[in-house]
Amino acid sequence: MSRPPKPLGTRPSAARYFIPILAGKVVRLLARLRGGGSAFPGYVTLKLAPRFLHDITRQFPHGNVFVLGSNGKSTTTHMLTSIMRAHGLTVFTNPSGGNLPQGIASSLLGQVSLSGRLKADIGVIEVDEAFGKVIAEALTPSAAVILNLQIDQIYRFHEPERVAGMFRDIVAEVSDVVVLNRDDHFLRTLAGRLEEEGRLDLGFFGLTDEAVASAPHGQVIARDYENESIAADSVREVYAEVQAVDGATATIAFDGVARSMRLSARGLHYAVDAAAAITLARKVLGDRFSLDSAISALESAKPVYGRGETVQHNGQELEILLLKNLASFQMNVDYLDGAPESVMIALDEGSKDLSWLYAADVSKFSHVDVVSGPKAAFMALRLAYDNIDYGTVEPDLEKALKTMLASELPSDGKRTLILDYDQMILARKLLGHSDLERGAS
Amino acid sequence: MTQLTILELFPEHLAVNGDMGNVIVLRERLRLAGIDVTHVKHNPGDDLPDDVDIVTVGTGPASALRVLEASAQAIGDRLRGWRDDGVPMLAVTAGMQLLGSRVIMPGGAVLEGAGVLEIETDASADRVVTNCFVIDHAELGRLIGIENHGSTMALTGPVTEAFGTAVTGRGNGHAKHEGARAANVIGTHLQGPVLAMNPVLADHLIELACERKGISYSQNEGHAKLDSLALECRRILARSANVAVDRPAS
Ligand SMILES: [Zn+2]
Repeated sequence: MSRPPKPLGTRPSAARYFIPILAGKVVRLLARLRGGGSAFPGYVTLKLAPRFLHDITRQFPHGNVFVLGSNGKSTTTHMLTSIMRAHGLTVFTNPSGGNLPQGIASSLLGQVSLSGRLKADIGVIEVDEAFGKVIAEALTPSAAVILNLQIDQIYRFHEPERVAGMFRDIVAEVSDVVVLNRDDHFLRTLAGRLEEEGRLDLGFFGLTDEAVASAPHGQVIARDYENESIAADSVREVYAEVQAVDGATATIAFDGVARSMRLSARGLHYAVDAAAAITLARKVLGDRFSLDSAISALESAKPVYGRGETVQHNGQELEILLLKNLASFQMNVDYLDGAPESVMIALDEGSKDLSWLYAADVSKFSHVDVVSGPKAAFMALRLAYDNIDYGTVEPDLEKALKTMLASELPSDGKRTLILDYDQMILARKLLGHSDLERGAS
Repeated sequence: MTQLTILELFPEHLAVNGDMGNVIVLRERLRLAGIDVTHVKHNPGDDLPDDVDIVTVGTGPASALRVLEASAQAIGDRLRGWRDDGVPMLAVTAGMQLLGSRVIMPGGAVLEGAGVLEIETDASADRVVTNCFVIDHAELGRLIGIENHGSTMALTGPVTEAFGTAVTGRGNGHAKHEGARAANVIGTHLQGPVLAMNPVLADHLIELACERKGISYSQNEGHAKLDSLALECRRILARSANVAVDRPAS
C-alpha cells in the first residue's frame, strides 16, 4: 500500500507556510530554552495555518498510521516505528503524551523545513481517542490499529459505549486498513459492523484462551453488555496470536507458526502490543514486509518512557513502572517477578478519582516501603484494607525518594518505583534522568 | 464464631468504579472486630441466599442498567421483604437507580426498577463530575467522596426521604437533596468508594446488621489506623475544593 508522494497542495507551500512554520519554530526554540517540550508551538502554528497537519503529512508516500486504544498506545507506536525503520522507511512519529493536535503539530515543527518539506515515508501517530475525530479529519489516516477498550476509562468518558463511538468515528476517516484486537468485546462488535460495510481491509490479532487464562487478570477489558450474545459466536482468523508469555519472552504464532521473541518489558500487554504492531506492519508494507526484520526490530527496541524500563542510579537498579489506571497498574503488577522487595508507589494530585484502586488486586505485594505523592494517603488506605503494610506515608516525593534510596538495598539490588505520570516526571527530575522526558522517539 | 452474610448485587455489571471496595471495607472492619463474613455475589440468574445481613450494589454504565432490568425486578419482592425487616443496604448511583421505582433513559425508554426505594431517575441530564462531593447527614456528619453521573432523581413516595444534603455538586438535583433512604436502605451518589472514604457510614451499616443479629461490634486500634488514613483522604479532597472536612457547627 504505497502511493506516489503528493506535492504540498497546489504548490502554495513555501509562501503559505513560511510564516506559520517560522512562528512555530521560534516559539518552540524559546520553549526549549526555558527547558520544556510543550504543545504551545504547535498551537501557534495551527492558529495561523489550520490545515498545517493535513498539508504537511500528506507528503508521506505510505500515509499516516494511527495507533488507538485505552492502553498500550505509546508502546505500540514505538514498536511500529521500530519495525518501519527496520524496513528502511523514514518515520515521522509523535512522542508519547503528545497525542493531541497541537502536540502532533509541535512534533512536526521539529522536523519540517521552513518551506513545508518533511522527508518521511510514513507517519506513525499515537492518537488520543477524545481528539481522534479531529485528528483523523486533519491527517486522513490510511491505516489504524485499535488495541483495546478497557474498563478504567469510566472517570474520563463515563460510558464504555462512548469510547466505542469515538473509535467508530475515527475509523470512518480511515481509507484503507484497520487492525483490531479480536478478543476485545467492543472491538469485536466494531469488526462486525466493518465487515458488513466492506469498505476497509481488516486484520486481526488476538490471544489464545490459554494465554488469557495464564494472565492473572486477563486483558482487563471492558464488557459490551448489550452485544455479548451477538459477538460471542463470531470467530475471526488472526494473523498474530499470542500463545504464551514468560516474563519478557513472548511466544506469538504468525499464520499458525510459533515464534519466540524477547521484548523490552514483561507482561501479556506487551506481547499483545507486539502482535498488534506486527499485524499492522504486514498489512501496510505488503510485499516489502519481512517477519524476521519485524521481530528483530522488536527485540532491539528500547522500552518506552516509564513502561518497564530500568534506570541505573548510583549503583542501584530502579525499575520504573507507569501507573496510569487500573489496567496498566494491574498488568504491570501481575508481571512483577514475585513480590518486590523494595517498592515505592506515588500518586499525584492529577489522579482525580482513585476508586479503581479497589478494583485492583494488590495481593501480589508482601509490603510496600514508601507511599508518596500528594495522594499518598489513598494508596495507603487501599493497602491497609488488604492488610498490607504500606510502610512510610511521605507525600513529598523528594523526601520519599531519599528515604527509599537510603534504605537497605535488597539482595537482588533492585528497587521498583510505581509512579503515575506527574510523579514520574518529577521523580526523573529529582533523580537526574529528565533527559528521557520527551519520550522515546 | 459469629458470622455475617454480605450480599453483593450484580458485581459483574455494577462494580465498574471500584464499588467492590465497599465490600472490602465491610469485610475488613468486621474481621478486625473478630466477626467472620460470608460474601455472596449475586449475578443474573443466581439464587439468592435465604438470609442476608448487609446488601450492597455499586454503579455502572447505562448499558448495564438496560441489561439488568429484568434481573432486578425478579428479586424485587425479596429485596423489599428484607427492607421491611430492617436489613441495611447500600446502593451507589446506578445501583441506587436500579433499586428505585423507575429510570427514564436518554431517548425516553423507561426501565422499571426493583422498587426498594421510591425514587424516579431521569438519566438524560448533563453529566456532572464533582471531584470533592460533600454531603451532610444529620447523625453521621459530613461525608465526602466523588460524584459522577448524568441524572437527576425525584423522591416519589411517602416512606422514602433524602439521605442527606448536598453541600457541593448536584446530588439529586432537587432542593439540595442527596440520595435516598427508606428504612435501613441507603442510596447515594457518593463514590470513592464511599465506605472507604467514610468509615462512619460503614460502621453505621455494620451496627445495624449486628443489632439485628444480636451480636456486638467493637472497634480497636486497627480501625483507628484505617480511620486516620480515611480522614487524610477526605482532607485532601476537601482542601482541593476549599471546604471544611467537618461540618461547621450551626
Ligand atoms: Zn521492603
